[in-house]
Amino acid sequence: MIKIRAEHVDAYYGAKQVLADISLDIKERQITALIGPSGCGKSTFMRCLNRMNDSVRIFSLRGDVYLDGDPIYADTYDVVQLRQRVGMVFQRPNPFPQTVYDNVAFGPRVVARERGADLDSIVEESLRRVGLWQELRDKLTQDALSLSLGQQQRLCLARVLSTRPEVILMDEPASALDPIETLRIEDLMRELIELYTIVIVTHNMQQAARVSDWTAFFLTDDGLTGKLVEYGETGQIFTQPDDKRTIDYITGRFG
Amino acid sequence: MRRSRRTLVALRSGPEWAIEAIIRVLGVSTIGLVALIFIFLLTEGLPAFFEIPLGNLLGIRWYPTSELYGTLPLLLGSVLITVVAMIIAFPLGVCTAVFIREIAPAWAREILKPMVEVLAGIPSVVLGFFGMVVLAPVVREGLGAPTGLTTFTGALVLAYMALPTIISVAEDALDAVPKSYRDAGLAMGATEWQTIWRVVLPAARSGILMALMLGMGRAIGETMAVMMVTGNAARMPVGLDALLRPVRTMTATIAAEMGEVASGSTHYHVLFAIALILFVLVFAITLASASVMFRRRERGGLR
Repeated sequence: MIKIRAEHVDAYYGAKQVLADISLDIKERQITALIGPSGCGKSTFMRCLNRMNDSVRIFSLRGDVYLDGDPIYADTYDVVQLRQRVGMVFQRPNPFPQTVYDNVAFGPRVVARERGADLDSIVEESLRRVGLWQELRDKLTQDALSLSLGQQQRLCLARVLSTRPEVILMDEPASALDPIETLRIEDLMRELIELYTIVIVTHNMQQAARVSDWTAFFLTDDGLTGKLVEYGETGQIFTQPDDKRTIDYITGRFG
Repeated sequence: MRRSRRTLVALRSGPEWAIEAIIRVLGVSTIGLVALIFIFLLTEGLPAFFEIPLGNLLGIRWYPTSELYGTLPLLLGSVLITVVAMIIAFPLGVCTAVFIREIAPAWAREILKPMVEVLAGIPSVVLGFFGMVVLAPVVREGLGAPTGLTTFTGALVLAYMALPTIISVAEDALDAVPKSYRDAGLAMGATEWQTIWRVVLPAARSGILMALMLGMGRAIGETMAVMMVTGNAARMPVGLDALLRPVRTMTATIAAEMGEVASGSTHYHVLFAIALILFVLVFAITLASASVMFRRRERGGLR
């Protein structure tokens, strides 16, 4: 099953083209890793999938992105609903400077307008799913910024889960974390794909190899425009890629 | 650490030492001057508390010619006019800050920010004059007050005067909210407005509280504009119609009467006692805002 389909996506910042002709199918309930050196457009591409680039005034996009077959860049498409369905975890943990509870309750409260006991159970369920409930059940009123970075990042993940998304985009979710926390996030990802489709941007080759089912390798020739070099099953990309540049990159010859 | 620094000082050459000494003297003297002013206020104001009974001093009648020195109407006048001014200016100022920082396009921000700072530079006598000539008739005719020189008129002028402070401090507070919070809100499916209201404003709340405090400090100490538009009747500002009646503030009383009073008389001492009260009030507000800022720093950055 294809969850998200990108067709001939070109993206521009003003007159500068930052993505050229990206076509990619993201499979449902699988993990797709986007890899490549800095500035190759992988993050930009991911931000096209929940239209986070909309707030960049000079950004424009050509081509199509489909979620369950519906074009998300159509004029009539509801961005708020899109972002509820396609959640995002950022590179630096960015919990709101509020309590643990308020962080997780934010989405249901503000976006879905849940109240009272329903809200409590959503918060509990979301925290359970990321393995924070045991650690934080007595600290729900604590300031989220007082948690460790790893806890903060899992809290951000719980915050995303609280709106019951279908797809989770992760922009280098472990780059600020230590190795143990990194492994926890990766384990979580493997658990979460029972219910969710995950797209992860990562600089870490081993991470891509460890967690993902599919890998897309992005590269830029001119330091500006990102292109998709190769896309396939992770095992194949890492063992017998078709493109020489892919071999060079994953074996650490550049990047 | 301490020791090595001292050795370093000892090794310094002559001019270096002199420059440091001059800076130190200048820095300390500024604080010293404030202390001197406070001591002056104390020596001139405290006798009032011994020369007349406390009941008189805290009474509700201010008729210095009849030996009635009730400061309560003046104190309440100052407080009422400041509170009303803040009720008007605070929401307005915060909304303006939100507009400038969050909603206006970049080019408009470039124009609006300096304009707000220019507002702060308008001399208060000019605003007082404007209040007298333009606002007062509007208040008299529009709201049916017996005179246009009322608490409300004063509060309007004060609100206007406090606005630049509130706007720029609140704007700085919003500016300090990391973009990552906004991104997180938007990525959750919150609208721009929900993100501003539920994420950005709460994150900036200590800075916004400070904007309120500083605006309040600005308003309560203001003299000239207030004196020109409030009618200066030293009556107790109680009852529902107090807003549309004249009122007299502590600052206006000092400014109006200090020139007429015999140096060293009871009246003179009482005026200083009022100044003392004002000083303590403003000091308390400043202290409160400083503690807010301190707490903010403790939490790591401008969060």
